[in-house]
Amino acid sequence: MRPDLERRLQHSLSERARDVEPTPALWQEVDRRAQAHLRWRTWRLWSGSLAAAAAVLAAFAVVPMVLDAPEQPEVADGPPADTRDPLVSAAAASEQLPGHLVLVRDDELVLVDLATESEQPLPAPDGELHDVAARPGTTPGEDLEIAYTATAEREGHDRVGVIDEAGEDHVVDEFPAHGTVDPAVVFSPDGEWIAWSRAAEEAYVGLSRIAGPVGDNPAGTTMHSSVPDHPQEQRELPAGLVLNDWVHDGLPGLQLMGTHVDGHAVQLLTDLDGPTPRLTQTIPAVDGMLVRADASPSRAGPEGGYALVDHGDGLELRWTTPDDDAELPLPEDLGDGPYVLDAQQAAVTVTDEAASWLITHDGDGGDAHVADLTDATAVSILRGPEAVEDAPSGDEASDEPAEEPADADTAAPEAAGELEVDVFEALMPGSALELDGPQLRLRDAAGARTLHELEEEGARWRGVAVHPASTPGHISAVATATGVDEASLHHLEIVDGELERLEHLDDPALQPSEHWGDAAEPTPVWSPGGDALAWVEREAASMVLRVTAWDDGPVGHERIERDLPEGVEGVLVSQDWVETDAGDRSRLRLVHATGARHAVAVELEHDGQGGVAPVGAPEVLEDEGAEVRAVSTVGMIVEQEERLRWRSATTEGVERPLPEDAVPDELDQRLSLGPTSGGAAPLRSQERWWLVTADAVAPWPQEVDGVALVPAGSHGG
Amino acid sequence: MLSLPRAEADRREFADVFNEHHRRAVRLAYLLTSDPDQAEDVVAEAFTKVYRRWRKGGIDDVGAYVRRAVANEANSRLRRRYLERDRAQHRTGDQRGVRRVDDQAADRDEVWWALQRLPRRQRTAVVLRYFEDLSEEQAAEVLGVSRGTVKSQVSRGLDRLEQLLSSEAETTSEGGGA
Repeated sequence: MRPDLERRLQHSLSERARDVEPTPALWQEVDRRAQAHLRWRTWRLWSGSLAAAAAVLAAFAVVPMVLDAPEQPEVADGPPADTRDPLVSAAAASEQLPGHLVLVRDDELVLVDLATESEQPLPAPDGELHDVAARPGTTPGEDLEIAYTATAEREGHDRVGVIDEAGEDHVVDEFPAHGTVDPAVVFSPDGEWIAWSRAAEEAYVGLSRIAGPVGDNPAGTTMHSSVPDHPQEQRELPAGLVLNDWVHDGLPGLQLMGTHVDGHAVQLLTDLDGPTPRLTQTIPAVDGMLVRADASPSRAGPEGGYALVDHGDGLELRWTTPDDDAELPLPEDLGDGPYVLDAQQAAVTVTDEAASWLITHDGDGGDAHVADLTDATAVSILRGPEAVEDAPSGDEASDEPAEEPADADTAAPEAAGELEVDVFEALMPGSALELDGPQLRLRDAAGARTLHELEEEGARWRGVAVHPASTPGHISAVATATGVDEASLHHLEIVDGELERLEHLDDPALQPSEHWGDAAEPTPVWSPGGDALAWVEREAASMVLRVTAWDDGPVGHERIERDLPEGVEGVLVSQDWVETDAGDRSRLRLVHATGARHAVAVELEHDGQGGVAPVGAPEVLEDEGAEVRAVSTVGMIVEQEERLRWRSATTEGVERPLPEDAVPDELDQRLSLGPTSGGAAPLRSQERWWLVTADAVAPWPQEVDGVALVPAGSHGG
Repeated sequence: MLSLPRAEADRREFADVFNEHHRRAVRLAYLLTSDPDQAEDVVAEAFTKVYRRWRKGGIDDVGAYVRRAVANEANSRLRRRYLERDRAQHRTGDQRGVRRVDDQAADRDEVWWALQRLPRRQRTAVVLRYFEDLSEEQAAEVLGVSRGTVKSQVSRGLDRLEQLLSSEAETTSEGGGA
């Protein structure tokens, strides 16, 4: 109990709350938004040639799309004016065009027949609907089934359910609402399974089988629903994943759901017959951040995928096939995300936070049209029995050759090529040491296992640095720990995965000050040859570098202390110690985030005998128009226009936004990049760790307090 | 099916709901975002969502629903908004919004200064516990997390507040003695 702090906190919150009074404009804004929500609008085209529009008008019988239109009653009852825009382009009016859409409007389900542009209400569940998916292989008026996610009756919860062919609502799952991202739901291509995303404390994908085996229900015939006849299953998701789609993957017995994290397309390999389906990925590189992706699932039309990409200055929708790549128009009034795509062949629906559009094209990305789906807040394209018939089964898929990896510029979201490789594992150079509170762990291809746990109550590991001569079989490292009253330095050795040595370096000369970690990384840095160890501390208003010689342990009982040059303020965000061409001399490079629009790098030369002296003036690291936040040899983190982005130092032109989860809440929150190993560097942000390479950023698989990468090199330890 | 009279009646009735809850909502949003302008926008969006649900008669406790909508909306925006604080620090008093009646008091408030430096989840949990006076269970319900998570976030938030306040006191003391 901290009664004094709690009392001060309550007083402060109460006082600050009284500082603000709502303005009269607030009600006007709420009223405007509420009334806008009620309005029914008519269909309208965003783009398209007059000639194409005329052709489509001739081809389609245009009937009202709006059944309930109190503010525009003439639309509800009469035939439309001859200026009414069609839903689809003439070019797309072929077998490539989907027959029906199921959409959510004002939390009601509506079936839209694209051939006649008519609509009819469907039985809908109670609650605010977030996402819908029409079951592939089902037919409107016969056996149409619709999976949905919605706000549950219990406040603070969402639920997943299926409306069966009789209109009955079957609840499949209920879970605490995530609050920021509405849960998504998708069907497997054969219509046998549904998958949904759930994210509360942890992110999961839920799986539930809602029909018998496909073999018992030949494709193209009615599937009998028995919701749910199998217990649901859950698979943990890496942080930041959003469920996009479930697609054919070309592997035996396996199917994939395309999702994305921090701008990558990620694929989850779901071996539904196995006890622990694997989560795997591919990383089709895109020039920009992949916001959302969806695949065209049928073989009847062009195979390919749609990708919504953020280039920093705007969104771009791309249609990508093995042979082609085209940009499609987006709605002029596309609002904020989260965005959802649903695709079938030459048609894709795009949904923002409040509205949806249908975008059609000629199959090659040409003659594209954007049609407003009139207040639809979720849409699903209905894939009829033909689509399921076309879809390869797992056995068929096993005969298919694996697809080539996606070209760096084309970003087909379903492209295979690096399957069975975890996002993190794909970037991880080898093994790593992890610190998690009192636990010291070793992470390698087999996962993470605890090597040691501090016994003192309240003690925790703070930082770890792996000796540069270490190998996966013999790791030497120093680690810092803090207890109740003091910080301490430890030397440890790990041989063949077993902790062989853990020594508390209790010489007073090696003891970090109690302020260690307040203004600098609580992690030492090794000299390139491993013959010295350095760390930075704050002492009063000064930043102090401490260096101690090392030969299988600290040499002597002295350390060198050097005040950093005046003007170097701010938080130490990275430290490197690099070799030079001048004999034993090496250089320490300390990079400080200053809070201004640049970072300051200080170089100090180590003479090989223990002497350290600053070299030249501090160097200002800048990125035009951006603020440099953290620097390593593989790249830097910069801030620009309220975004953080990773800029590769080794691959020209590679820049990508940091994952949303990696963006700190507060401007002064620390970002730090650890020493690089094997082309990867650990990044600490938002109290979590990430793995950064020249081309990608992936979340560390587990929340930890500190990490250090182990070199994969072969030089002896 | 809606009719215009029904819509107008709904609108008036919802205005009463708004009047009952909006002041508290704006203050909660402000404590979560530190920005009075953004607080209003958060509340506008939250009430729009409340309206959709309220129209269907699906809310038993409007106050709790508003609180949850505000917390969720503020959390969502805080993820994207952290840099705006830098700009806010450079605004003059008038530019910081007409609703801030005592900027100087806020600037002197060390606890408020420290609260704004908490990670988002810790800050939200602390505000719900100590401003909204919610129990751990109630805060957990608002945030869609377990009671244990709220307990842990609040505890860590208080730890961090103590550290920040202590560090600030040291700095002030050192500056004063120089």
